Amino acid sequence: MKKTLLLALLPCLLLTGCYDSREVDNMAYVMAVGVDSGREKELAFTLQFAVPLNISGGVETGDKSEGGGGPLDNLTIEADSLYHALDYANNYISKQVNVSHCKLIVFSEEVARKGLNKYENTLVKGKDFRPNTFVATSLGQAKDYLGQISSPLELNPARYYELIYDKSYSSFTPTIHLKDFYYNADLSDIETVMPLAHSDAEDKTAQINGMAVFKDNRMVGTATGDETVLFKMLNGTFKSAHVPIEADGDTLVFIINQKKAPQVKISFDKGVPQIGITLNLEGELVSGTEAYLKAPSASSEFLKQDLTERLQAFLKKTQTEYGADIVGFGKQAKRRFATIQDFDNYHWDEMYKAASVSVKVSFESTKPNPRERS
Amino acid sequence: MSNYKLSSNEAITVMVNLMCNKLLLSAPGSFTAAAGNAGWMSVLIVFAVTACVWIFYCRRYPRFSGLDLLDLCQKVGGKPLKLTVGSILSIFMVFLTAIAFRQYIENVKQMSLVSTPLSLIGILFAAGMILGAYTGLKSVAKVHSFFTPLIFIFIAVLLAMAFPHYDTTNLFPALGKGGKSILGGGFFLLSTLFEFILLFFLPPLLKDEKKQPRIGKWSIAISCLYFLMVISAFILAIPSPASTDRYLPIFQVIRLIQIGTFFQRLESVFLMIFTISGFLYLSTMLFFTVYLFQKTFGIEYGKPLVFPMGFLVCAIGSIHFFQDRILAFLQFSNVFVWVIPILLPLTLLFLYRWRSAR
Repeated sequence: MKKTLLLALLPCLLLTGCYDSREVDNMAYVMAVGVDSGREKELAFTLQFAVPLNISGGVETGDKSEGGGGPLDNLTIEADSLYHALDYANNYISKQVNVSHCKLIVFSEEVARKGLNKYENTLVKGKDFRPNTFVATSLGQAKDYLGQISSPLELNPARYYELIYDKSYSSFTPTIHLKDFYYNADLSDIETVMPLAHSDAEDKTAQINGMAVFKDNRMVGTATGDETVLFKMLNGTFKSAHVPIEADGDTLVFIINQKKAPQVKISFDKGVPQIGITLNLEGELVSGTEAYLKAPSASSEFLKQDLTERLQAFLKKTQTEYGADIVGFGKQAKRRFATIQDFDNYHWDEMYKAASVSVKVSFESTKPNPRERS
Repeated sequence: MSNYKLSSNEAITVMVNLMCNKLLLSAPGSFTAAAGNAGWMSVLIVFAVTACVWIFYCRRYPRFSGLDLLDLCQKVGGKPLKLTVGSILSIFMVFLTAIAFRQYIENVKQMSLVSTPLSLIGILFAAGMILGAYTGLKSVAKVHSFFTPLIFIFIAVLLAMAFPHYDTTNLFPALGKGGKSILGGGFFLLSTLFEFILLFFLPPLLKDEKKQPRIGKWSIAISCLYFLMVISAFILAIPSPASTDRYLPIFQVIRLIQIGTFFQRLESVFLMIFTISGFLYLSTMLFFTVYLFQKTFGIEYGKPLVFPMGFLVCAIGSIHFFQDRILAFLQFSNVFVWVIPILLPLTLLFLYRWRSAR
């Protein structure tokens, strides 16, 4: 009886997966999705597909395959929602559209300025998109940015996006994932930023530089690449960068590393937040005039003063121009509150604008005189 | 149903899997929904109350060694009370197993078998559940003693791999939604530990019934550790209010794991653990449901009851009403389910004492 029962149940265990099995060859993998405003429908979605034949051809021969196309192919569809667009896409291409390997979602500036709240649930709650998918905002059309993507050095599009959007050695853009965008949307202690994507139709180039700043999931401004370096120093995600400064008419270039995470102290004076930040940096002067190279401590003072002024100015900009705590000081501030209700009643997002912020830069030279090395 | 007797370790693994099973379903979300990021404090309260009930029961009333709650009902109120309590317990067991059955099949569909009909997944789980319960206590115990520690280790490793996503600032404000929510919400969350009641039914099934207090203490301690580990990881990885979402909380954490390009998409490992844990839980719950029913009504052979009881569980779990309402129903049931594991044993003991004094 038991053996018969077991034999009868065996197909249940072995064949269940066959019911909805999917062949890799029958799938069209979307690598990136661009979201623009539509003309006839509310939105226009650009789906960027990987073309496997061209990828494998390129890898083996160092060039594109005989098919002649690149490793990516774009398709733009107007629809009211993303999943609607994906359904439409199945009518355009022979294979089944699959977004499980999607690496990037780009929102156009126009869409981002209208607000992204309505997309967060669609993208994160659905199991199709990974929480570690990169998100970005494009200056101009997302379609144009995706259209200009070209990477002769890396034909695998998935790898290309991983390399360019997750660079620990480059500090000019933040690395933001879909999950950050989703979690930050409902938090009052931090606001979202996204890498800023640029494209140039004439030069046929695409790049990321700087960041788009959001408040309540609505884009409120942009920051340059240099400002993004300061932002990353403040939130502790900065690794290393070459920083040029002007000193008495000369340009000094330092290589700077973040020695340890910034120390943030928050107190309240008559209800107004008092934010004190100490940055712990280390590095060395790599280029400058003879006088500065011989006197590293003097050049370090210039660096500390210059960085302090730039950081103060950037933080002022976050308070006045953006009105958004993008660094996440609220995460530290909420330690001072007993309950979520108390913190919500304090309205951190509003109080941050009036906060008094002071920055102290500590710089330790790793090499007193770089010339001694040679 | 079987003459097999459980060893201490087997009994502990069975109890830990039964009590902690909801962690893989919606329990972490329920704790954070009740107390916010202070959900871990509610865990401590729930287990403190449970431990107090157990210690009180074991220390104050050692004379009941070898008797289970139904035997106690018989002593207190004769057959009518035994029938009443046994029937109520059986009904609760059937309903809660049916809800868990529904949760399992819905979650497996959402996580992996998206285009497979729910009914087909239901048949697979029903078959596993009925087969497990039918094979009896020995197989239930042996399978638990092998898989429960393995599941615990796998979950611990997976949560450790999500470490880069943990943010200690998520623990603040320290009191979350406030003391009232931690205490009040935590109190109703005692319903999460409904399966604790089965500890009181273990004595006749144990090799050494004198080890019942020790089994209870270890089960509660390990379960508490398990709850703290999982709920703390959930709170650290997902900030409130996003963490109040009760949609497969641990699945959400495990989806975050990405260590290089090699260690990612580990939710497939979780799916395997989830399914094994589900089969173990459902089959054990069905086994105990049949056992209680058999003992309540003095039925000599329990095995023939496994099929009808299993079909009843599946039928209730398949009711259309539960579609989209399962979490709301669980929230509603939390208001009164705690009465069974916490109040019922104490009430019976006090009644017995009062009767004896007369």
